[in-house]
This record gives sequence, structure tokens and C-alpha cells, in this order.
Amino acid sequence: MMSQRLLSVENLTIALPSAGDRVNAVEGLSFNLNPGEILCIVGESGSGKSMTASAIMGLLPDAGVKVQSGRILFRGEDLLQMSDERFRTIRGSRIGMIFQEPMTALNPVMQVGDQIEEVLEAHGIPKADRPGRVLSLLNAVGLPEPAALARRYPFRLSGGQRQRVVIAMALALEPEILIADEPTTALDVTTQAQILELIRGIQRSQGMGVIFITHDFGVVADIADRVAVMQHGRIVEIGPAREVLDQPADAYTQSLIRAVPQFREKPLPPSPEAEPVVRVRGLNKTYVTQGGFFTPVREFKALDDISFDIRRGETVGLVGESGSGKSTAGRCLVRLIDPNGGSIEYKNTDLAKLSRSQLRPFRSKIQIVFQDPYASLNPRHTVGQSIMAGPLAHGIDAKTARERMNRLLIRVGLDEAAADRFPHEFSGGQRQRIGIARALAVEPDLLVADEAVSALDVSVQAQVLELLRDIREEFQLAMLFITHDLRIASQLCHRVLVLHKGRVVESGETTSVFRNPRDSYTRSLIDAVPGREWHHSPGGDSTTRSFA
Amino acid sequence: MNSNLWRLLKDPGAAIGIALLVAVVVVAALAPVLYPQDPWSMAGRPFLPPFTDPQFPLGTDMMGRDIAAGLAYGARVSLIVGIVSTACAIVLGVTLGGIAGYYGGLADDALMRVTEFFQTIPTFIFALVMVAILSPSILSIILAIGIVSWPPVARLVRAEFASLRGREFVQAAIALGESDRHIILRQILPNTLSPVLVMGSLMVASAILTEAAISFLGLGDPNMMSWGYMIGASRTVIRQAWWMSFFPGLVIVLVVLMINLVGEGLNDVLNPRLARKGRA
Amino acid sequence: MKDLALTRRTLLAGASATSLLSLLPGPALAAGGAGVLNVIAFPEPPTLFIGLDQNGSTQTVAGKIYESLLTYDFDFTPRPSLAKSWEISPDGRTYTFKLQENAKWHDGKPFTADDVVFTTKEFLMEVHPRARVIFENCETIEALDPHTVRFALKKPFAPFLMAFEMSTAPMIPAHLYKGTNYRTNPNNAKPIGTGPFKLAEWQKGSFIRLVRNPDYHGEGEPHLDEMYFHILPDAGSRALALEQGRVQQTQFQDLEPFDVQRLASLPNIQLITKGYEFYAPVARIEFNTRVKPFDDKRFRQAVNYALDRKAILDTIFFSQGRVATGPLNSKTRFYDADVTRYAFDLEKAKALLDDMGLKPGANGVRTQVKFLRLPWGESWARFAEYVKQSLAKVGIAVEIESADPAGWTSRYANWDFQMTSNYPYQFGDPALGVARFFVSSNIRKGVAYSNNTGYTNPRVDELFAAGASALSDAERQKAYSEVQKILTDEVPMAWLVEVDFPTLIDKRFTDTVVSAIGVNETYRRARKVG
Repeated sequence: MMSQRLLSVENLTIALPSAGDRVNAVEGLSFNLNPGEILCIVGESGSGKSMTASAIMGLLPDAGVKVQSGRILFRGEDLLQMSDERFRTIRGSRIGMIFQEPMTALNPVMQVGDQIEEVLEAHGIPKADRPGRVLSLLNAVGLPEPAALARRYPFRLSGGQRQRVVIAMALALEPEILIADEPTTALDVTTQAQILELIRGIQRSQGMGVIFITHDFGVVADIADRVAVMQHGRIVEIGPAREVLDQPADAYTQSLIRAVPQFREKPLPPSPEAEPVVRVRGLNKTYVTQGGFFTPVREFKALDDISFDIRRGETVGLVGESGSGKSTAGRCLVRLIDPNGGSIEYKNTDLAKLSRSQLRPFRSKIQIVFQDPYASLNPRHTVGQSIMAGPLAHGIDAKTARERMNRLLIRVGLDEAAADRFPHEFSGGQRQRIGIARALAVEPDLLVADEAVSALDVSVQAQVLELLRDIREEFQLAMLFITHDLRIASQLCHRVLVLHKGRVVESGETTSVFRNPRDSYTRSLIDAVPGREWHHSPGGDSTTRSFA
Repeated sequence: MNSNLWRLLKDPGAAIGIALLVAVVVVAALAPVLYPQDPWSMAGRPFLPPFTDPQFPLGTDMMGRDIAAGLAYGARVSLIVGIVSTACAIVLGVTLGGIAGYYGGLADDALMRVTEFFQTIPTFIFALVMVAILSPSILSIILAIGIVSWPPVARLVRAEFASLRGREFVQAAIALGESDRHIILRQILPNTLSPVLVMGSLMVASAILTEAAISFLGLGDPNMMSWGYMIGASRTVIRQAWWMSFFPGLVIVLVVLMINLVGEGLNDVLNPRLARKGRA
Repeated sequence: MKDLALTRRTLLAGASATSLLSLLPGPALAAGGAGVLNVIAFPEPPTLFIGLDQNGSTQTVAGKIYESLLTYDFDFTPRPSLAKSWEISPDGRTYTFKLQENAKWHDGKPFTADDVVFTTKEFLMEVHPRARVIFENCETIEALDPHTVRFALKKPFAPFLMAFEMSTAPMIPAHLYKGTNYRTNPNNAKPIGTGPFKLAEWQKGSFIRLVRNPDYHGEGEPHLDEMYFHILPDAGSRALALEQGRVQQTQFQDLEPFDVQRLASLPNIQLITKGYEFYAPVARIEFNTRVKPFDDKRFRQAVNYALDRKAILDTIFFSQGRVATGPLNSKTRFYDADVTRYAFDLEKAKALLDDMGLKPGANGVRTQVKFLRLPWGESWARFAEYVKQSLAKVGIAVEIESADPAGWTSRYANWDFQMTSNYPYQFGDPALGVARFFVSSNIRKGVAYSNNTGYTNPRVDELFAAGASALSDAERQKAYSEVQKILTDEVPMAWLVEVDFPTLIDKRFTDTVVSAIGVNETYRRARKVG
């Protein structure tokens, strides 16, 4: 085994530019990759996992990032000492790579078939053989009608199809090693499952070594033979997947795994109050693209007859894949988007029918927390200004607003000094707390959380979820929780609605929906959840896991 | 902002530019002290070459007027026209662009058609015609330059507003029930100021050039000494008295160059930050 | 300069900075091939039909194509042109002209007395701004035979014989114009005259080419084969064209004064100052006597005292001319030097202002006035600046107003000014070129170059009337001397400089400037030697 070692990283240290917040991106890193093996490198953002991949490919960003010491041996040959010319014959043809965002990896103005041919051409495949190879590659990555698809431009493909094309390009030369850097993170869960299946299948059939970089332990559980867990540029634990997942030795690994959301076993106690805070009936939203002289008017139904109630203290989950209309529904509720039809009844007032000015007194009653902690705070306002803006807009005097802000800052786990600082001085999780404080500052009855934890690292995610759960209890908030992640929904929500193409395909008490899905789409969503086996799926037998 | 200023001063081009511009501002401000006599006063012998008489270091013109005094007083006109007309253009452009970008729809369509209409007219000719119609004075020149320069600002601000309007912090402000005025002025506007500031600094330079060109063509304010006027008036005697057009020409070139250096420095300092902000 | 401004409506013509446009397109400029004379036409004439347009440059070009009955020596002695000879009855009321018998129009038709009758009785009376006041004095105009014309006047009109100058009474072909709409007649585009040159080609914006008329009535004339008139809007390129020999002649204000000095010293160029007697302008400031403080004679006198005429002559006009003493140019007839003179005297000016009660304020300013600057080139801008500086010294703060040529003409004609500068032509006789600015009957709103100052004095009206109808020159002199005394005392204007125009011409060309209208003459005798 040791003798056929495909890749061996020895004592690798990569220095960051001096201005960075730590000296080395990667420090004293050592691991091996054997043929026919999938090694997952898992870690949170900033752990150095992507930098490791870039170093192997010789694609480190120029600005001050450089390898300080160590070796990267590919079949016994040190890639770091290799001439650029020699490296070029290896990169692409013997070591392939796929990236997180397939759109940026493709040339938008070139047909996908031509792009794959270009790769073949660069590595000296005779012209006559190329079209045949392109078709068989597209076929191999499971794309339908390869001949027609080869003539399409990237923008006409779906995200999953694009990632398949990228994989086809990486596989074009039958590399010995495939490096995949978060290749499924931007994809929907069902697509992710398919792509993981594809990579696994190709790896098996070709006997490649795969380095798979991810932040998701579910993905690790589904795909990995071995796992390396990284923290702050170091490997804290490495070993066979089952061992690391089920009996993690390192405390950090343990905490990470503990933070991974799981399907909840028991239903939450139902909310006592019977009268709903908000009653949504028959909500519709149709987007109409403006027709020009030559383009016909096109309609797109984003929401089709959505109805639900939310009671005080209750959380309703809205789950679905991208394009299902879940965010549109959330924004209709806070009237950032005007619905075309239906009613949003709040305290006997139909908010859907109110004009912008009539709506203003009601604005404070329904608040929203957004996904992107970086975009959701005004970079030029201090945290205090951002939190106090709402109360001030609703006529609350500055002193009361300030007191409320200080109280909320402490409540969401920050201190009062944060008020005078600017958003860029905070981490993503802290910003999300600030966003929650801002929403709470106007004392809403209903909080819409639109993928509020999706952009966060798993350990931070768990903390923010905890905060949301606490404030729900404390303020007896009604909450509409929008997410693509069924595990998180099951953690927090009393009831869920599964959205597919703008329609509610299934709804009901959370554990019963996930355990006994009646709709085939719901079922496919649940099946696609990564690491389902490991998580012991809600419908299956529960195998207990214990942590040391 | 202080750190920005510091970074700006570390850029050698911008630092030189700022130093020279400060010098020009000081000379302009102190012109009545440095040259108590009116720049129009026929103080010396006509056609006195430079560096011959210490009283008139840069020589005199065809009517015996001190070139150095003319440059000092001309700096006031150039700076006033450059800054005030740019301020007008920015106020107009930000207002219209902001409304178009924030409200979109019909307001956007209407305002952008107006903007395009203005953009189809060659700006210099348009400014010239306006000055001619309004009769030449410093006010009409400022107005004319302001009116022809706002469309690019409006387009820039509109694009910024349209993109910032969709940003989540603005959406949050809407959801919080903040008024449109408050959202436009407090939430969005401060975030558009960096590119506007950069554009504005370059517009000052082009306004100075436009004023010089208008004055050169004899449509300047006949009661204000300006650099363009000095060149225009001495153009016909350029073979006899090179210095009469050379010095004001040199000053225009230098000032415009310096403003451009500062503008580019500002761009380097302010805009990467804006670009970084966009990333999640 | 009179009519020059009226059609210079292009916005920038005054600024003339379009030098790129003027980098001499057009024909290969033979630097004086056999009998070719290259001249500048500035600005480009709007038309060459002299009957409808008497712009300065139109006259220079059309003067070669059209003729009148007479032309004039430098001292205004009439000389034959289309008229061979003439007689005046002793009572001064009948003028009989004998015409050239072999004169032909450019289309081959003979020139006859009928053409003269048509021109003076019908054509000019309808369309010409100046000819009208002359020929309305005629009781009858008749052709006695094909080559004899008789004008019978209602009463004596002394300057009548001065009326047969080319631009005042150009002969128009009756067979082409009689009974037509003169302004829209298609022949306007192809001028048909009797002159020594015919229009061959006109590239708009570039050049006008005239060729020799072989059927000209002057024996063996003209001597030149061709004349080119180049359109050069920029002063710098005009100077360069002369310097490089691409043109051989410049006239009027083609060149800026300092270029004149420089170019006149070139070995192959001669400077001629004669030939402008018919125009002989006096540069002056006109006061609008309707508005305060210009309604007060003392204020106008104060301004007159505050201006240093010699300095203006030297700095603004580069010494090309003489200090003016009154409304008449000293080179014209009936000029009288014995008038009230205004020597440069700031104290006198201040005393007059004190006397009016205009005391200086804290900042030394007594009053604020506006000066509408003449938009015809740099010299007049400098002139305005000079006036502003000079008047500031006696406590009169001047604000300069600028306007484009059309705007200036309109404001001047409609009395919308406080003071402005001007230098109109005098047309050889006070009755033709001077009286119009001072007689009360000529106060006509909307008409530029009328009595725009609003000055009225019954005695002045009488004297100008007497001067026009007196039979002898002595009587005329008496009237005009008195009028000059009155005007220089009441100063509705400040007469400053008698402007001399320079003609610069290649020394190889002779007999070009031979009359009081100089470069606007026919050039029938002009020739190239060596």
C-alpha cells in the first residue's frame, strides 16, 4: 500500500502575506493519498483546506502567499521543485480539479463541446478523435442528449448540468488524481446527491485518487474513505471515515460533529395559543417579463396559491430547493415584494391590500433576517445606528431606542461596546446576531428568517440556531423559517411546508412529514440529505451514537 | 476616512497632486493680498518679457498687465467654476439618478430618456450655446457646465442605486418601515459617494478645461480674469510674446494633471474597498 | 464696417478660433502664376450679388464683377467708370451722364441707359438700405437715348455725385431683374455684372475664383487672368498665408495690428494705407443718452476727459491711425479741426462728476455703468478692458457685457445698452455717412446704425439739412463746421481714434489701390510686373 502511494504531502507550510491575521495558512501539513481512495478534507472557513488544494495544483494566489517548506510528492516526484513546463504536462492531464462555482469555471461565450475539445487539444489528442471523446465524456457524466448538449452555451445549462460539464472536462484526460474543492456546495440538495453519486461512480470505475474538500460532515459520511479534519491550518485528526465520524478522538472534531444538525426525533410540544398571529390565504405571485417588439410577454409563477397560519410562539418551516418560491413567500410576507393575489391577515387587517404608506405602521410587526450577514448591514453605519434605525423610524425617542439597543446587543450575545463599531469589524456569526437584534428592536410579532443560518459555519450555525430558539421562547415570537436544509428545519420548526415550483406539495407536523413523507418530491428531498445513513434518517431505525 | 486620507497621501502621484492643488488654492485665496492691484490694471510696460523685471516676474501682456497677477486671479475663476459647476452637476445627477435608480419603473424610464437626450448633444457645443444665450458671465458659465456635466453622474448613481436597492440592508430598512427619504439619504447615498467622489474630482478638471475653452473663444465673463481668457487674448500675439499664452497654458495643464492624479489616487483608495464590500 | 456685422450670425465667427478648418483647402495655390492674384475674403461673403448685400468682403469680391457709373480719387474727385462723362446744371438739380458705348453684361447683352434707370428708379429704391435716401431726391430719372441718362432732382442735394460708387449704386441688369422678385431671382446665385472679372467657381468655405472678362469695355483691360479669394476664418492662418506667399494681398482687418507691423517689414511686401478714404471710420464710444447718467452732458464729457486717446491708439490700435477730434475723420471732406478738444485729464473728469453730485463712495466708486463690448475680434475686447480700467480711475465702475455679433446688433438697434463702441464708415460725405447718427429724424428703433444714441438737437438737424442742400462747398463747410462744434461740446459719443486700415500687398503687383474705395475697386488696371 505504502509503495503505491499516489500523492504524499510532507510537512507543508504555506505562509500568508504579512498583513494577514495569522502567519501561515497551512502549517506542517502531512497526509497521503492512495490510488482508488477518496480522502475528504473537512474544516470550517479559514481552516486552510482550499489553500491546500491550490498548493497541490500549483495555483496559489500570487499576492504574498507562498510555500514556506515541505514537499508534495506526486508518484515520488516533488511538484514544488518541478519546472513550470513539466508541471503543465501533469496539471490537467494527470491531476484534474473541479471548483465550487461551475459557472466561473466555464467560458460563457463558448459552446461546452468546444471547451472540452480545447482541453483535449491542449494535451495532444488528435483532432479526429476529439468529437467522439467529447460525446463519451458527456455521456459518462450522465448528461442527457450529449450531442445536442455539446452545442449549448453554459448559461443554457442548469447548475447541476454545468458541474457535470466541469467534471467531464476534469475527467477528459483520465487523471490519476481528482481534486474537488466544495464541488456541490452551490447546488441543490437533490443535485448534490446526484453529483456525489457521479464522482463516487467514476472514482470506482477509473480507480482515481480523489481529494474532496468540504465543510459538510453529511457529505463526508456519504463519500469519504478517509477523513482529514483541519483547523487553523493544521490537521487535527486523520483516519478512516467511520472511525473519525463515529468515534472522533479530537475535541475539535467532536465539537464539530456535535454541531452538525440532525433530524429531530420527537415532535415539539405544540404552541398553546390557538389564534394565529398571521393568516396567509391563497398567496400568488406571478412575474411577468416585459415584452419588447420581438420578445413575447413571459409569465413565471413564483407562488401558486400558498396558505398557512402561524401562531404565537410557533415556528413554521418553509423548505424547498432553489427556485421553489420559498424566499418569494417570505418577502411577500414582509411586503418587500407585492403579491398579485391572496391575503395576509394580521389582526384583522389584510396587509396584502395596503398601500406603502398605509403599511408603514405595520412594518414593525413583521421583521426579516437575511441570509447574507455581509450584505445585510449597511457598511457605513455603526452597529448601533443600524439597530436603532427601526425604533427611531417608528417614533420611539432616542433614549429608549438606545436602551433597547443595549439590551438587545447583550441579549444576542454581544456587548454594548459593539454599538460604536462598524459591521466589517465583526465575524459572520456576530453580524447575523446583529441582524437579529435589529429585527427585534422594533418588537415584532412575526419574524421571517430567510436562510438565516445557511451561510454560516456549522459550529456558528448551531449557536445562532440556539439563539433563535431562545428568543422564540422568550418573546413568544411567531417565526417563518425558510431553509433548504431539512435537518435544520427539523431542529427548529413545529410544522413545515414543502414548496416545489411555487406550490405547497406537503405540509404538517415536522417529524411526521419527514418520517412519513406522502409526496414523492418530499421523499426525494429527504433521500438526498447528505449523510443520511450516518444521521440515521428520520424514518429508519435509530442507532444511537455516543460521543466521548 | 482618515485612514483613506493617509493612504491617499502615500500614493506619490496623489501626494504631489494634493500639494500643488493646495498651493494653487492658497495663491487663489491670497490673490488680493499678493497682488493688491486689479489684474486688469495696466501696471507696466506692454510686452515686457518674463524674468527681466523683478516687479513682473512673468512679464506683462499687450496692455502692460501683470501675467503673474492674472494667473493668481485666474486661479480663483478656474477653481470656482470647477468646483461649483461640479457641485451643481453632482447635486443634479445624484438627485435624478437616485430617484431613477431607487424608484425604477416609469420614473426611471422618463429620467433616463431625459439623460440620454442630454448625452446626445455634444457637451462643449451645448455649453457654448447656453453661455451665448444666457450672455457670458461666471454664473452662466457655471450653470452651463453644470447642466452639460450631470448625465454621467446620473447614470452612475442610478446604477449604484439600482444595485444597492436590492441589497439586503436596504431591504431590511424597508421592512423596518424607514421612510423613502431616510433610506435614500441615509442608507443608500453614503454607499454611492466613493465612486461619485472619484468622478467628481475628474469632473472638476474637465470643468476647468471647459471654462478655459469657453473663455478662450471669447465667451468668458468679460469682467473676470481667467486662464482661458489669457490664452485666448494672447493667441494672436503668440509669435511676438510667447509668455503671454505659455504661462496660463502651463498652469492649466499642471492643474488638470494634478487633479487627475488625485482623482486616480482617490479611485485606488476608495473603490477597491467598495468592490470588496460587494463580496459575501 | 457698417453692414459687416449684420450677417455674421455664426456664433463663433467673432472668436474665429476654428483654425483647423482653415488650413487652406482648395486649389493648389500658384504662388503668383502668370497674372494670378490671391486675396483673402474674410469673412466669407454670404452672396456675391452686390444688389442685395453690401458686406465688407462682398464688396471686395463683387467690386470686381459689378460697376457703378463713377469711381473716386483719393480726394473724392469723381472719375469715369460706366459713365464716360457727366454734366451738372448750374442750379444743381439736373445731372446728365453719358455712358460707355461698348459696355456689355457678362451674358453678352449690351449695357444701356435703361439699365441705369431700372437700377436707380426701381431696384435700389426697393432693396438698398443707403441708396434710397439718395434717389428719393430725384423727381425724374429718364433715358434720353441708349447711352444718356438724366436725373432731375426735386431740390439741390450736394452729395448726389458721391452716390455713384460701386456699393451704393451698383448697376443691375434690367433684362434679368425687371419685373421679378429681386430677393428670390435665380440669377442672384450667378452674378452678372459689367466688371472686368467674371465668377468662374465658388467652393463654399474654401475659395472663390474669378476669371478675366475678355469683353470688358476698358481697352486691353483687365491685365490679370485670374483672381482667387481664399476663405480663411482664423487670423493666425491669414497672417501665415501672406507670410508664406500663398496669398499676395490682405486688407481691412484681415490681420491683427501686430501682425501688420511684422509682415509689413518683409522685403517683398508693401504697406498701403491709402484707399480707405471712402470708409474712413472713427472708432468711438456711443452713449445711450436716454439713460442715466448718460443723459447728463457733464457725465459724457467726464468720460471723454478720462480716456487717453493716444494710449488707446498706441496700445489697442498699434498706432495705426490718428487721435480723433470729432465725428468726422480728418481725411474726409468738410472736416474741421477747430472744435472742443478733450485732452486726457482725470482732474477735469472728476470735477465734472463732482459737479453732478456723483461723489465717490467708500470704495472710490461714484457710479456703476455697463459697457456692451463690440464682438468683432480681439482689439475690441482689449478696447473694452482699457475703457473699464480708465474709467475706474475716476470712480466709474464699468461692467463689461459681451454678446455675439447678432446679439450685439440686436441690442444696439433696440437701444438696449448704456455705452458701446463702434466704428462705422463715412461714405465720403457727411450727408451720407455722418448725419444719420445725429439727426432726430433718424431715431428709428430696431435699425442699427441709425441715431441709436437718441441724441436730439434742432440746430443740428437744421445744419445737417443745410449741409446736404447747399450748392457750394463753402456753404456746406460752414454748416458742417458749426455742427462739429456743437457735437464736440455735447458729446453724444466719445470719438477716440481715426482708424487706418492697412493693405499689405506683394510688391510685384501694381495699380491695385487707385481710388478712395481701394481694394473694393475693379482692379481693371492691376497688373503683375516681374
